[in-house]
Amino acid sequence: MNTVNRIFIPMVLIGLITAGIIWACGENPAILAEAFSNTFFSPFGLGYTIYYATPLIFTGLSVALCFHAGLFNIGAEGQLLWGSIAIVAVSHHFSQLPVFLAIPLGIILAALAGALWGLIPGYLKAYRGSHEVVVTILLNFIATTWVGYLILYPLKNPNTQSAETEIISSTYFIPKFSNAFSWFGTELFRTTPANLSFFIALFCALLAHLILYRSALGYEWRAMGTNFTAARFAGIRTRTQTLCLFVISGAFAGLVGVNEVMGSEHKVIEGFSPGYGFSGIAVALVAENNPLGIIASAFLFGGLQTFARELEFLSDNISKDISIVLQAILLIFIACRPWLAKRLLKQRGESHD
Amino acid sequence: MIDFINSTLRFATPLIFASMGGLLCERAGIATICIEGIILVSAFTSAAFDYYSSSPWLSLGAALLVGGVFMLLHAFLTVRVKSDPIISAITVNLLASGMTPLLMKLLFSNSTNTPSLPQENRFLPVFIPFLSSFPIIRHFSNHLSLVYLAILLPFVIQITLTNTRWGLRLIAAGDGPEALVTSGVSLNHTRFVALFLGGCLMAFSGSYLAIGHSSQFIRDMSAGRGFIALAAIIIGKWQPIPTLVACVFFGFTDALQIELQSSEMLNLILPAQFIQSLPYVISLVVLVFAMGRAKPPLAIGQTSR
Amino acid sequence: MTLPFLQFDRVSKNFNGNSANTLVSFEVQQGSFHGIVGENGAGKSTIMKILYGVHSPDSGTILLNGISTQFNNPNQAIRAGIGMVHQHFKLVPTLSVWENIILGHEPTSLFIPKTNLLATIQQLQNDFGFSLDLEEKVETLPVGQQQQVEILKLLFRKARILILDEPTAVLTPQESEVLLNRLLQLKKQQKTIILITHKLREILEFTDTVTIMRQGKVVATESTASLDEHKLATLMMGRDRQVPVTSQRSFEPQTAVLEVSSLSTKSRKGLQLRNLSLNVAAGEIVGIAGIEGQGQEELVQVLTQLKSFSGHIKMLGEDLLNFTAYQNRQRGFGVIPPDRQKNGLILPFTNEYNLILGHHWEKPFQGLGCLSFPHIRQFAQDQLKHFDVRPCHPDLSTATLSGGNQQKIIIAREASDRVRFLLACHPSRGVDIGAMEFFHEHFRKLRAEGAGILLISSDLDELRTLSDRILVIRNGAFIAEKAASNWTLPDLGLCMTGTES
Repeated sequence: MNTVNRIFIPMVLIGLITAGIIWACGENPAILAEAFSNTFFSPFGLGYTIYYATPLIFTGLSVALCFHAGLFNIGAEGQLLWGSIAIVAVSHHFSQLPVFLAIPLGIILAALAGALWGLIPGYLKAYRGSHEVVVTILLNFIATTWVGYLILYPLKNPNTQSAETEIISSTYFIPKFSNAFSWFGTELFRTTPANLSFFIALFCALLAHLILYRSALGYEWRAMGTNFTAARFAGIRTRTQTLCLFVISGAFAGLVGVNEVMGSEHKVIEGFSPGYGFSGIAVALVAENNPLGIIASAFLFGGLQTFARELEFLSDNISKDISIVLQAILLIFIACRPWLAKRLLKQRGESHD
Repeated sequence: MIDFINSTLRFATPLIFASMGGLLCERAGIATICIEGIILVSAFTSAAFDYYSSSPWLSLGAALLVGGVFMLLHAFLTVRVKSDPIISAITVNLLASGMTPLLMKLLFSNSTNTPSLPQENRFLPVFIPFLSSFPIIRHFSNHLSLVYLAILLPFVIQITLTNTRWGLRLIAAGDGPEALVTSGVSLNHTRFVALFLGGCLMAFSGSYLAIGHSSQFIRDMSAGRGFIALAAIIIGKWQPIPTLVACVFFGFTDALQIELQSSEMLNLILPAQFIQSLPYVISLVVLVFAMGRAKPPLAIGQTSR
Repeated sequence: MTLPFLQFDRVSKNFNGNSANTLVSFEVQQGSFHGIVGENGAGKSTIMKILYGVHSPDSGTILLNGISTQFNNPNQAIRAGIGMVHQHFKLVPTLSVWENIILGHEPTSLFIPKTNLLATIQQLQNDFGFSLDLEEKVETLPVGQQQQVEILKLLFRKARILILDEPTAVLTPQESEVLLNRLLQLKKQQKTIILITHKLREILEFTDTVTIMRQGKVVATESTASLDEHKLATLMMGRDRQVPVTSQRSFEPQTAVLEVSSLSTKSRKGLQLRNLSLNVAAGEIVGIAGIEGQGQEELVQVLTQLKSFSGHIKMLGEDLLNFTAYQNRQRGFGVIPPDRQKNGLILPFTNEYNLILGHHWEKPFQGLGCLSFPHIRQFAQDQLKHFDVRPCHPDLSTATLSGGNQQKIIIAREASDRVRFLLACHPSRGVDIGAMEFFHEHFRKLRAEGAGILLISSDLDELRTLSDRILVIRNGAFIAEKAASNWTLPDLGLCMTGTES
């Protein structure tokens, strides 16, 4: 019931606000219905939603794990860049590997690259007492510029003017849904970039869920996040765990590259991420940091993105950036909810007197 | 050399405005990582307003108002609703980065940039005759008025903080909120005002970028300056004058980068991207190694455990 | 002087069903130095906070100059001429002395007229005999001078009644002397002083009248001249009850479970431990008595490895630092922390999760890193039943339990049968008599089984019933040690409060 509330009410709210915006933009709100049905009732829309939801699951997990221990990871954006470029780099050097080696290697290196970039804020937070928020923000920019260099020089695709890397070797390709379905003789999800790395995301969510709620490690993290002093008193090594969390969070964020590079684009395009790292914060907040809930809220946000794409397609006045605005409105709503509830309660109490 | 110094000043100006605005907010005890978003909305506002009104000063006024109002959203979320300042600031940033292209598309049917403005509708360099009579300073006497303002601003802020009762209360709101409350001053009111004014100052930065430094608003044109400004505040240890120095230094790296980009030779040895990342790397290194534990205003330290 | 200046008339206050003040009535004369004395939790601070407008009374009235008064917030109290110096100073550390003094009462001019203000404050300093450097930053001042800033702040606001809550708790003896003499001077200038303290010497030497409180009630209000130390101590502690102090030790203790020698800590601010030496043998309960904040907390932090120290500590026969805090737990070290909600429990967690905190890597609670829920559940059920925690549900959030039952969870976890050295801090604080007796019985059983217990408590009865030996800690050092049976309650009280050592 509660989860229904958490997802459903925001969706209705978003619907209303979007209708308002569309109306204000001088468009017929009826296109809302068309965009909605294109998004949610067509395999094409669903394919895109899955494609957008996959990275959001990864970054949502990355943020949520840290949140559970009371830490802020705003660095998913940088971590996912390293994860993506690592795949291109490994394919550049080992282009002849057979599929059964190439795919695991790509996945592992993407995770590893993200983890290494997560190691920096983790170390600085745990052992130098630096503020993880400022550090991760700075690291995001450093990652953008340095990865930008790799895209433009060592790994550049010489055959094009645009800022993108070479195409990875085909042994690293993760099959798209369309390919997978065509093995069964259907054409479902054709032309959408949805790919099997979605299942890696699902697996990660499940894994995160198990670690958090079923393992001694997750127990320690949640203890740290709920009552830091008591956790320290009980002998939990909070520094080691902080480091460990940032590394794991980084690895999750790095896996975004698997969806983007191995799954759909097969190359890294400069600026490909429309802020997956920051959206991950919204995803985690809506799901109250529950890994399985993150799957649902990633679908909400992924759907939002597809929906915005459809709107842009159907209208001359609306750009797909409306999805970012809607995300922000959703966040404001979530932030205000306890306060609103308190005020409503107060008013009701007063009217009783 | 003279050109280089002038270029440094031009690049430092938006950083100074942004960091001074941020400094006010942070000194009032509210962590403010949404400078970036405020720069964006104010830059867009002034470019769009200028397009219709053809008056740079009116556009600046509109930008100040919008910047202030956006910071009021941050103030509302953190002070009134008591939500986490980091999440609140990220929300403001998201809103800004989504809203600007959305409105741009709506108003100008183009979601990447606003129409280019004619020269006469932008801020123009102000030639100061007084300065021009001195031998060396003469070379630095042909800047936009905002540049002069930016250099004066940290000193004004310094005096405001130390010599007015408003400044006193602002510092108390950040360093000893309990003391302020027991002294009978409204903490919320102090913080609301500080954040609004801080937003206005940040808006100067956006205006400068859009209708001073260039002639249009371009999508994501703040390009991380809000975060650099934040780093400058931290490196300046939340003091106006040291923050000014940090801003000028970052302006210097910007100018350097432009300089180096034009020389092919150097670009081969040291690609532009690395110089681009220099402000961030330096901030990080200073933050971690040179300063030890940064000592933010006490109330900020508390919200982040 | 017939009409009392300040009068409390049957004031009562409850916090969540616990009564903090019951029918408190006493009077304070204008221009007098009035002391309020009592043990921790006697309700001294609460009654003053009611006067100051921090809390509102449930019933009863406060009369100021014969007029019934109730302040809704401290600002109103300040405007009425009442000022309070809290135990924790409310100053802005980064501002200078004069800025702190004028904060909230600045003149309305564009720039602060610094020279004028400095002259005004300097005049105030001269009038009342202060000599602070007004330009100095507050954070650089020693604690004693920070307190003077607080007092000056009140005088600047023209306060007539000054309330000081345990002002000497944070001061060195010399600073205390200076402060109290200064207060005497203020009294001579027609200010009314109300001093909350538990140090008997301060009351006897400086006050005119004194109100003695115990368990939220006024025991007596007397002229100080009619009292002596012994009488005051007896009034404060209650009658010298004959607690059954029996040496229940079943055998002569031999092996030491804790050996501390020349333990010292360094800290820039606050209290330091100074050269502590202490042994706890297996089968022995050693009590540590002391007014709160005399170094007990630091000692706990050192033993739980949260604070660095110099000196030697051997726990369970090995150097403390040879193992991590976690490993020491496995070796049989249990801690009942001083604040169960802050340090001992993760309140939103379930009972079963709280029962394994600090032991969660042990078998059978986990295997291969996975928590083994059936085993945890089984263990939790056994423990909850054994320690009679109600309601006895392993998957109920600990936050929903009463204080006594929360404490039982901690004791079930920390003082299990395996424990060989137990550090117990205020184990029965805030629990009912039944639970307390249950805990005491449990500790005695542990002792009989050969565990060593170090008991830190502010409940002197508890210390005397349980302990074999009692040490008194004051200002970071042990100042006395005797067998428990050789301490009388007034002796102990006097030694703790520092009138006699």
